[in-house]
Amino acid sequence: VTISRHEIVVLIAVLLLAAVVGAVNPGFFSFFNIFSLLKNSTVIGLFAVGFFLVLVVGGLDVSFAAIGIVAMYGTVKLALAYFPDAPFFLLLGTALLIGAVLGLFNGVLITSFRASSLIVTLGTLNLYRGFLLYFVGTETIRQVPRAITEFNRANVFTVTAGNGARVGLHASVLIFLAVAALIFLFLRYTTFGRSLYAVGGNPVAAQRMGIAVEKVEVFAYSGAGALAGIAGLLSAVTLRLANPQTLVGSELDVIAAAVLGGAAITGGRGSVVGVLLGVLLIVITNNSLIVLGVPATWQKMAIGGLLILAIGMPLLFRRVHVAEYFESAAHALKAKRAA
Amino acid sequence: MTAIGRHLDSRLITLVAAAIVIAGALGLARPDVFLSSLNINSMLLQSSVIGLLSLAVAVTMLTGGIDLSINATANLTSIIVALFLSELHQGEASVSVGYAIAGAGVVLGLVVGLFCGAVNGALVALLGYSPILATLGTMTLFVGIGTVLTAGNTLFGVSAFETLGRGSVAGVPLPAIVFLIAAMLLSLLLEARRFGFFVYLYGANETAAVFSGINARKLVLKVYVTSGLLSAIAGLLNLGITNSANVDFGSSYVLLAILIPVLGGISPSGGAGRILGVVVAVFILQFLSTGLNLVFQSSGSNFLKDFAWGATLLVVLAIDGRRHFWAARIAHFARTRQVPTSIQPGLSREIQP
Repeated sequence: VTISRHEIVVLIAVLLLAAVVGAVNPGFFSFFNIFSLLKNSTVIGLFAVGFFLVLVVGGLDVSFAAIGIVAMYGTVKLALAYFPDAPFFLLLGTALLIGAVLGLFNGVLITSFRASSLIVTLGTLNLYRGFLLYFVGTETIRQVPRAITEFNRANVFTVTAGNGARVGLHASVLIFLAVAALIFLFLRYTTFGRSLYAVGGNPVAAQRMGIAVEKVEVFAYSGAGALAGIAGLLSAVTLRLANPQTLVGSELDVIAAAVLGGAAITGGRGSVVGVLLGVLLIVITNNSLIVLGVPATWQKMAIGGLLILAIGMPLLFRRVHVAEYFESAAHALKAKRAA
Repeated sequence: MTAIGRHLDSRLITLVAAAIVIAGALGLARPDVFLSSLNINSMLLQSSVIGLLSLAVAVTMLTGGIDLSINATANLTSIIVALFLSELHQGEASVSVGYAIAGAGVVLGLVVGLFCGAVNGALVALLGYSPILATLGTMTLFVGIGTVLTAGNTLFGVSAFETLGRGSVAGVPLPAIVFLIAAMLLSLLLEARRFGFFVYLYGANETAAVFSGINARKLVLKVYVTSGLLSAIAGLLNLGITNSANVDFGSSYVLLAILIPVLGGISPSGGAGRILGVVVAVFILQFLSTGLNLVFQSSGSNFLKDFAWGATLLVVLAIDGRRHFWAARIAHFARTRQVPTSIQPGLSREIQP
């Protein structure tokens, strides 16, 4: 497994940030904190991996949070009405299916309209969310199916912390890591997975190579929808309630994580490992601003500033634009001096 | 060139017809409500703010970019101006001093918009950020600055702009006049000036524009500054209309401000579309919005509106998509005199010739 230069830089950034936060707050490196950081990463991480799938083929899907809430709320409603005692994996499957169908709809619309994916998914974002909130319901469901409350307490292994408290790693973290590993292997070692990069890199070349470009694109959108569906259901697990008005608004963190991890917005670039590192960086930043003494009202500004820097990082690494810019500025200066 | 002209005019005719049909249907269904001066006034007020934001997005779309920070810019403008005015307006001043202070507020607001637009433009044009990511980042940054300035509260009672927000000339509310003047100036700038010609050229073919000697960086920078200025004017109007300012105002406006230019015929990939179409689209959306309010007066009709806007956007895109499909077939026929059996138009949106 080769690791790109960009991923190493993000890894160093994560370690540096962790060292700084750990120095200010020694509790940072406790099992309790690390486990809760991982748990907090699952939902945004699943969204980010799905978002990344679409980025790879050169698209942009901003409807994932809306897909997540529709899948989550729809699954809970369906389960309460028809199969209240279903095991958790069945609920997970339902959410995945709802998400995949909505993602498929995105993909079909984008490929058949030949329209900008950002604008189509902005439309479907409002379509899905508006449909859910107007036609399905707005009230928060507190009596969620039993499987969800049970899964809320599912820890895969527990350790006894220094003060005698027992802390566990939540099972949803395993689901997240398993899905991420699966996507990683798929993108790296299967022909079909590789064809996603080909389509994102150069669609015309990909088509001449015999890749069914539109099928690959539709697949990427459906995959992103499926992952968003899982993420939505897991968000209900954490809270033990189904609130149809959450998640939308969390898009920024997800996009930031994917871009930070080295995925190019023009497609064909990036890796799952990079995205996971980006997610870690974002989650640690979000959780640590208070520890680092940033007042609550300043947080959004700090995140915005960091975001702009983070988006610029890949550009700096490619050094195309900046070098070009300074070169042309130097040229202009020389020309002026000569004249 | 003429083909493009014809295409745009047919779009404009469709838009005007749609506006007349919708307004006519609403006028016939509920003449008492729809045609009341109160309703017309409130429609004009609402559409002026959203209209200016749509113009701000439209001008960036013409270069193939987008500006997601419009609403954040508008709110930041109204917050800074509100703070400035409440700072100065402590004592009761004479009328002329009041006008001077309000004028200073307008200038300050425009400077804020200029600054916000320049930040976006610098990121996109000078540093090579993708417009979506750059303006997403600055959106968060501007909202963050607004949050710091207001500590998350709403600022009330800034009355210096009351005349601007509530006043009217010959029965037409001032904000609507400001919007129409801004649209007219922008239209002139884009269609009768060299700057506008370059904007369309750059949007249609970036490479060709650069090779024909256009200073692309300066051009794009100017476009984002224009977008920031238009957003700032929207913020100033909003401050006058609502007499308050906060960071969360109109969070659903971003979608609307993207939907309206697309509906109005501005191509999201750049280089095509007219400001006049955007203006007509603003009124269509306003009629639809009022219509939905009249028919569904129940709670939660905001969510229905979200649904309706999403659906409208998709339908418009579908119609445009079909239009391109037929355009490709007709072009093929004109070239070869043969009815195409299967046609493979450009694959990706970006690489379409």
